[in-house]
Amino acid sequence: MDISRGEIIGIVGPSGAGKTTMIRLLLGLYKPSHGEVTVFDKAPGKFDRMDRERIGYLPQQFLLYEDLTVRENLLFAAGTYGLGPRERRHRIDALLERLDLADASDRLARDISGGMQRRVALAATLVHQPDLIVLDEPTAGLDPVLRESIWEMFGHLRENGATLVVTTQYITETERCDRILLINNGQVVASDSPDGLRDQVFGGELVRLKSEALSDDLAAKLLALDFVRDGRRTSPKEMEIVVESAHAAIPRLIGAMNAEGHEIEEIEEVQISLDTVFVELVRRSSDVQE
Amino acid sequence: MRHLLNRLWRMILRPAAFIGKDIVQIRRQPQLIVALIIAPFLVLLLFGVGYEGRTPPVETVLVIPPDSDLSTNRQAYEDSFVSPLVLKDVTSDRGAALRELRDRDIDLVVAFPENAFETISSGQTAEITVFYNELVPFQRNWLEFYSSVQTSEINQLVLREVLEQGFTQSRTGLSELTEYPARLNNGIDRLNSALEAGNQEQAQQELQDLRELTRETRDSATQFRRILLATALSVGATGAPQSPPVQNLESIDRDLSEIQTGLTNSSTKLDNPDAGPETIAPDLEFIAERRDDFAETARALPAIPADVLVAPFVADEDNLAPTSPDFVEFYAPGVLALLIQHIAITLTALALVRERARGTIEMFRVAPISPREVLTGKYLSYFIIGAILSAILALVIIYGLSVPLLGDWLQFCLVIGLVLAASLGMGFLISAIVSTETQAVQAAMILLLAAVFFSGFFLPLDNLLSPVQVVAYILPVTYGISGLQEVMLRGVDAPTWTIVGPAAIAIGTTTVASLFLHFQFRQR
Repeated sequence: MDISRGEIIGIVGPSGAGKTTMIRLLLGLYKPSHGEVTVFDKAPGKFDRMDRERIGYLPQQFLLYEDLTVRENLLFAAGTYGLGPRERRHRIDALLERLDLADASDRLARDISGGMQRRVALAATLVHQPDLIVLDEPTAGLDPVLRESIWEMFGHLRENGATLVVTTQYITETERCDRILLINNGQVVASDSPDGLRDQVFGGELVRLKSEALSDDLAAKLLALDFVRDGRRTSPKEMEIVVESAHAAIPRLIGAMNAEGHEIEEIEEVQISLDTVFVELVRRSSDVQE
Repeated sequence: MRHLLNRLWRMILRPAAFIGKDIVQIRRQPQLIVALIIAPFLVLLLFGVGYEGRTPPVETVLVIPPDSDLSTNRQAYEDSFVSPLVLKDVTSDRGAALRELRDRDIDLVVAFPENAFETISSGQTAEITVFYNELVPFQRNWLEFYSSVQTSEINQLVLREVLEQGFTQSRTGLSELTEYPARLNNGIDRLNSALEAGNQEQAQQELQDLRELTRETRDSATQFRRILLATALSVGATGAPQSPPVQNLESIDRDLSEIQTGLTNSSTKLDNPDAGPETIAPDLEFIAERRDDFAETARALPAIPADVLVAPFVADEDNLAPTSPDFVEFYAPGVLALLIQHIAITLTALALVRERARGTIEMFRVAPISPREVLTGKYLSYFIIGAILSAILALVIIYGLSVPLLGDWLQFCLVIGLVLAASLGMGFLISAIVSTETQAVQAAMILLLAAVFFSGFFLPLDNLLSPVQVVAYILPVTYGISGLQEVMLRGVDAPTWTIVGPAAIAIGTTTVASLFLHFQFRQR
């Protein structure tokens, strides 16, 4: 798998699947038992200081120094990356503004909310403006509004040329990723864009159709249409049909039903959630492994 | 060039990040400051105020055997008991005395032997039995020592009695010698009176008395000379025979011998019934000359009481140390060194463990900061914190407790700095090895315990077996106590070993800690 500059890669998988291990391999914390990892055109084990200055890392269990203020935490993080006093102040002020932490800058880390602590941790990861940002479950435990704002910020970082590798247990968040890496039991189950994964699971987009006249014969005729890839009856009056493009297929399905002399009571594109895709992919992967 | 300078600048900035962080973290823990400085200081202060520094009295009961003629009157022995032994009672009931001792109502029972004279007269030493009821080893040692001193005192007492009795029985001593001329004159006067009265028999009797007096005086002078020579021999004075007192006694002996001869000649001449005062006048003239010589020589003889001969030496203590510190002043440098070690080890032992526990070590592994920079940053920050705390402690001890600093301030700072550096190294070594805060705290406490026992703080290092002394010399506080005592209380430079030792510990432990940390930073 290759990760290009300016991409957001989402790594998803059930607990214990190996997400954190993969991140640690990328960062050079672990040595691969087999295979090869290359970051910035070199093995992570051979990173020099300049390479490390280009990486920002937010561990899953990152804890702030609770007896330091928000600003002091960020000053320390910036210091470990060798940022000079003026540069630190400038960047920290900007980050505090961007992450809506300016008012809390002089509060002790122990006195701010969990969401704010997570944002401070994120700010500490970004303070040295890294090219490669590795975030291990950055939105864990945050409310949906905050998660949304953080993913917006990831989008801004990508626009500025940063590459983000993000693990998450919130599958829906990976809709924002350019690519998703699905891991199960230490194996890469799938790697694609969100739509690509849906394609992998269902073979195309899904259209749900409801008609009082639906019968086995009619269903067979619909499935025989050239733009229909697959389908099945989900109830006596309903069926789901897999097509390449739901947008193009819906008028043609209505036309086909009308040609048979039947009315369609409801027809719509089914939005396949990535949760469903994820569950299906994991199920298939487990079946194969068994 | 600019790029290189930038890299160098960053190499300074990265460790420096820890200085600000760690100092702020410590500053925000006032309870920790209290626990580390004020509490130990209060302990020292309480010790200073509460410790009297004197040996408590050892209440003693003297047991006299029931069949002994020795007195059971307490006053008779009171002066013979040397401090800290205090004679509480004298009894013949040995069982009662031992019961009191078992009940710990008294501290010591000194039991005189039964049949002491029979034992001594059979050529054996008689045992004075000393009983005590003590668990504390030091106290036991002291009681044994006091018992030995007391037994020696009793032996002196006996010897003094013997000598004084000896002097009295031989009717000698200095007073007898100095009185001899007057008694001789009186005898001669009585002799002349008898001769003038024609009483030959009375004259012969007077001569006989004078010869007896002269013989006894001569015996006394001879005994005195022998005691002087024996004393001289025992104190190693080989030139004693030529010393004036001995020479004088020999002169006295010669005078007495010649007087004796004169008296004998006179007695022989008086055997003639026609003899009168004029017959023995030349002899009496000769005796008078010798008497005058004797009197002059006897006046020059030293008065030596029996006490002096029994105990010819007394200690005259003269401490050459520049100061005579009391207990607080003496222990203050040790407490300072102990606190510095404990503070430094406690703080640093937790330093890396806490970073590991909170997960920041993993971030450091990803960041461009090296293990060496992490350790340097932490070392510097804790050195600054330790130096500030040490300075506060030192100022409190010097200006608050008035403990003298006779030596050079720079030497003082050097010793403290090295103890601090070595202790920080040990703390970091602990921190690098252990995996939990509990283990770190335990290790720090064990080192504190080791410091109390093995550093020379309470027990002299020489009391430890050589292999065990190794433990003492791996503790920074051992060097600190010796170095600070020399600088503060003697006013001299710290011995070289107290400089080299902690420097070596600091380098060694920090190097090993760095290796451990490097190993932990390594890719797995």
